[in-house]
Amino acid sequence: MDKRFFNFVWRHSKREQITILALTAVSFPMVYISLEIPKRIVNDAINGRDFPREVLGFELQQVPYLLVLCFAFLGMVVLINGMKWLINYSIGVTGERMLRRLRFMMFEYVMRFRISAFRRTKPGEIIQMMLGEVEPLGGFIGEVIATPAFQGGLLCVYMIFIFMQDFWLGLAAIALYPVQAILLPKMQAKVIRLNKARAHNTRVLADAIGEGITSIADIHTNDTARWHLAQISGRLYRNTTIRIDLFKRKFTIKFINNFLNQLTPFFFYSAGGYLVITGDLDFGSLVAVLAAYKDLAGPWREVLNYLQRWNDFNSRYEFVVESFMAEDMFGTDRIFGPERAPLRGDLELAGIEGGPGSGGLTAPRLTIRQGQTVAVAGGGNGARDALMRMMAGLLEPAAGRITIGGEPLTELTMPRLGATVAYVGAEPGIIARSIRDNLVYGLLRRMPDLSGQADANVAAMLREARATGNMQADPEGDWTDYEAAGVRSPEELDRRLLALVDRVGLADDMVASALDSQIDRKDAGRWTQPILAARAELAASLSAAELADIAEPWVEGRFNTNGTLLANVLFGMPEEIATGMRGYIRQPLVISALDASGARAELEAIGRDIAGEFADLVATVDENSPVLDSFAGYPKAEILAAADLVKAIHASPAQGVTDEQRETLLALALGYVQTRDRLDVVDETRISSLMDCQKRARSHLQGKPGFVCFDEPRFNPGRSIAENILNAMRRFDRKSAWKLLGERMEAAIRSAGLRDDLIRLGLGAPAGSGGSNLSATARRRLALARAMLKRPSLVVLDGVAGGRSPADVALRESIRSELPEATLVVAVEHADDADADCAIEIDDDGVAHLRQPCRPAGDAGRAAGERKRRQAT
Amino acid sequence: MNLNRVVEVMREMPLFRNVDPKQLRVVAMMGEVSTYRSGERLFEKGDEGDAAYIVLSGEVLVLVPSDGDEQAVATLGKGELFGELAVLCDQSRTSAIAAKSDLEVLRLDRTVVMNLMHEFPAITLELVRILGRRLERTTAELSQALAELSGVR
Repeated sequence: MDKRFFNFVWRHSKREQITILALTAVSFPMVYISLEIPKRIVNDAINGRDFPREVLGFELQQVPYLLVLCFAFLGMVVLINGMKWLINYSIGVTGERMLRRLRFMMFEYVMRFRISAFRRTKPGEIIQMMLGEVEPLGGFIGEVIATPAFQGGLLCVYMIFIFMQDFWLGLAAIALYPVQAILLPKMQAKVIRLNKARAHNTRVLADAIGEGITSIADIHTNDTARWHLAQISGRLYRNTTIRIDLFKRKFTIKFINNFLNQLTPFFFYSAGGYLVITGDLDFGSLVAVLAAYKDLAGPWREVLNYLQRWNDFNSRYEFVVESFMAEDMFGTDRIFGPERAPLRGDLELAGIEGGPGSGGLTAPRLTIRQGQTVAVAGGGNGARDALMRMMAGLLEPAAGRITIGGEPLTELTMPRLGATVAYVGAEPGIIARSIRDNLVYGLLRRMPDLSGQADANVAAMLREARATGNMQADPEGDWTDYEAAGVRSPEELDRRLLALVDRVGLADDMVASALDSQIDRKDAGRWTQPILAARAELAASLSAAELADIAEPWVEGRFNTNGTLLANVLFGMPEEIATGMRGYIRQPLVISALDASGARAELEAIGRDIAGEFADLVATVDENSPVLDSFAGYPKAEILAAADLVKAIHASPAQGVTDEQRETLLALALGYVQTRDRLDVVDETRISSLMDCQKRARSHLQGKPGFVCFDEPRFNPGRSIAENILNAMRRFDRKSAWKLLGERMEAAIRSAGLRDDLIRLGLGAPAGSGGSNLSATARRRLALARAMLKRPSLVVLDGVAGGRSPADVALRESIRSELPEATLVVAVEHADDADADCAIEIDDDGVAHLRQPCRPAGDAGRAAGERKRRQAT
Repeated sequence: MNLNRVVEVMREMPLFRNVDPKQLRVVAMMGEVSTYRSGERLFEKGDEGDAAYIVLSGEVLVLVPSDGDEQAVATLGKGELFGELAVLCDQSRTSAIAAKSDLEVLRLDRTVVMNLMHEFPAITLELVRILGRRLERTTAELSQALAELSGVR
């Protein structure tokens, strides 16, 4: 990045700047002509004589001559404004492109920082610099040459005019310019310092805000919300004081400028007037000079303004750029280097010293043969963390070298390092995309080839990227490096993903989340067949009595005590998903069916009884009592609202029940489930009345699109997949048997061949910001699968799968069998935990040594055999 | 089983004799009615004590291990409370419970029990009284056992 603003502008926008300058130059004569024509109209066409006049060989009488001139004037106005549009547009586009280039460069620099630099880098500050601080530069860059040229040119023309009228008056007119030109930068120096202070303060503020969000858990558990608020408040106060200071200075400068600008006319009136009276100056000249001076004031103000902005933006640019300048940054090769094949060979550490913050780590000489499994134990004071990160090329030792296949790890390009090493920490980075995208994240290394693309949008995107030095790549294209995963096509990759997900134990999570999820309506048709198959398998795996003991099936005309009243009346569910019963009431299909069936009155009466129960409940306990949170069917807020509603109805019985209140009562009733809620509000009479309504609702809904009956053999996208497979209501009084049902459903899914589809569906679900939709264990397993997928030659597990538990042992075994040739380095609590070929032990002083001599490669299996023998004796 | 019937069962219990029926209804509401088939087990010895139970219908067996087998030390029927000690004292289960016949219980989650005790001191007092009586009985049995033991010596 250029250190000086102008160099940056000139290097990357020479052509545009010259074009803008040329456009400005061309507009000069146009402006002149547009001033000339009105004069001609007044003096020549309206007041003139001697007609006809000859214009371009045509003889014109007075009126046609006037019209010709007027239309010429109109034409000029259009032309000049068109020209202005073009200039403004060019200034805008140039500024925006340069801004894009600058921002991209800044982020590219961030990517090229050494990892150690990130200890000092604050994300909030970087964001503030990239987005906030450079924003105003964009507007300025486009006019960096054009404005001084244009306004300066105008200024010169007017000055020459004044000097030609009278030398001394001319001198008087510009007498104060040097004063302004000298005084201004001096006064502005302080403003620039304040601007810098403000920018710095805003950076700190941005970082404090970021910190407040990332450490929210600690804020809650330490009760430091008030302290953090005070920090922000303090920063805002500082911002205000700087601003107030700035206002004072800025407006003082403005005041002085204005004063000096008005001082000159004062001289003209007094001295010039005196000279006219004494006869030393003719009146005409004075008037002309005064008029010219008035014209002069505009451009001069613009020039001064420009000078101020020039100083301001120069310092702004430098202030930002210097934050991105690091001494020993990686070159662009670090990101764009060509080598994509993994390095193979022994991992060698020689004369390592960790330096500060590494728990005194020293490793005189360690060699790990390609393909070995190495357990790293001890060094709990930070030495082990440091060593693990060093072996993954994430941390540079203060002294010594780490090489793989003879090449220093810290100097590898990212394409090389990414292909060679997989590092999985306890808190792996998860991007806010689908789980699947997170799995293939380790393969997103191949820039999609866009050369053959004929799409106009893509072409425009590429052109713009070229013009701004940005990435000439489609961010949403297929970046997958299939070769690195050892597959040839997306289909093969898909199979590989399914296998890996199963391998690391994520598949069950995926199936579970898929079972609870819903399918998009347009894909529903595809799911009917497999779902019905799974339903049949499930029914076959349980006898009718067994099934009835766990779940209550839907039978037409029979009240389902484990289903909502909504489902009971409709005997089916709409395809459109709604949140809460109120959501369903708003669906025209649902409300029309309720009306047509005549269920509404009955339901409202039931809703009233429920509300009455809730009113009694609220009267018995304290309103804020946590007891109210424990009722299974209805949340506390709904219970309180229902109690309030009863109070309101009782308070004004004459008024009757409003439509809104009726809707609330209806919603209460529709969500009621007999076995779960057990309120005595639905007796035999009501049940038979509801069943009559069901019959009428059924004939109303028959054949209506967007609705699926319970006895219709069709997938309903409005219900979860699990509900679709079961097609019955789980019994709330038999929760102890639900586990069995889950197992049977799992088996039914497998034998119906639905499992892979469900895993795929689960993989398509969003991982959430920072992987918030996944458990910590699932995040780690995902990262392990990600590591295995890209087939690195060195796997570093730092805080994952390093324990004695069967799950951890299984994970290590699957890595070993998936990547038989890779070197596997595992951080463990006890050196014996991992079935390792050798162990690196770090003592309390941070000195790392090999505890057992490493065996030559190919002998890797022996350690496991020895462990077994040891256990046997 | 609907609330009215649950409350009826609870009103027969000594524990709730002096408690307002309205409050009993709240207890019944916040609990969960579960059914078990004969022979099904509600929990095992050593499980986390996450809930207390009231028998609504049917009977349960209290089972303790003995000589590698299991022995039923008590049978509890309609209106009897069990599992409350583990909930109150944060203990694991001291015995296993199995349904002796088809069974209906009101299951009260630990947080629900705590909230209810906080909300209704009358219930808490009755509970303390019952536990106190039980302790008294245990102490009497213990001293009797000790006396018998010294007689044997």
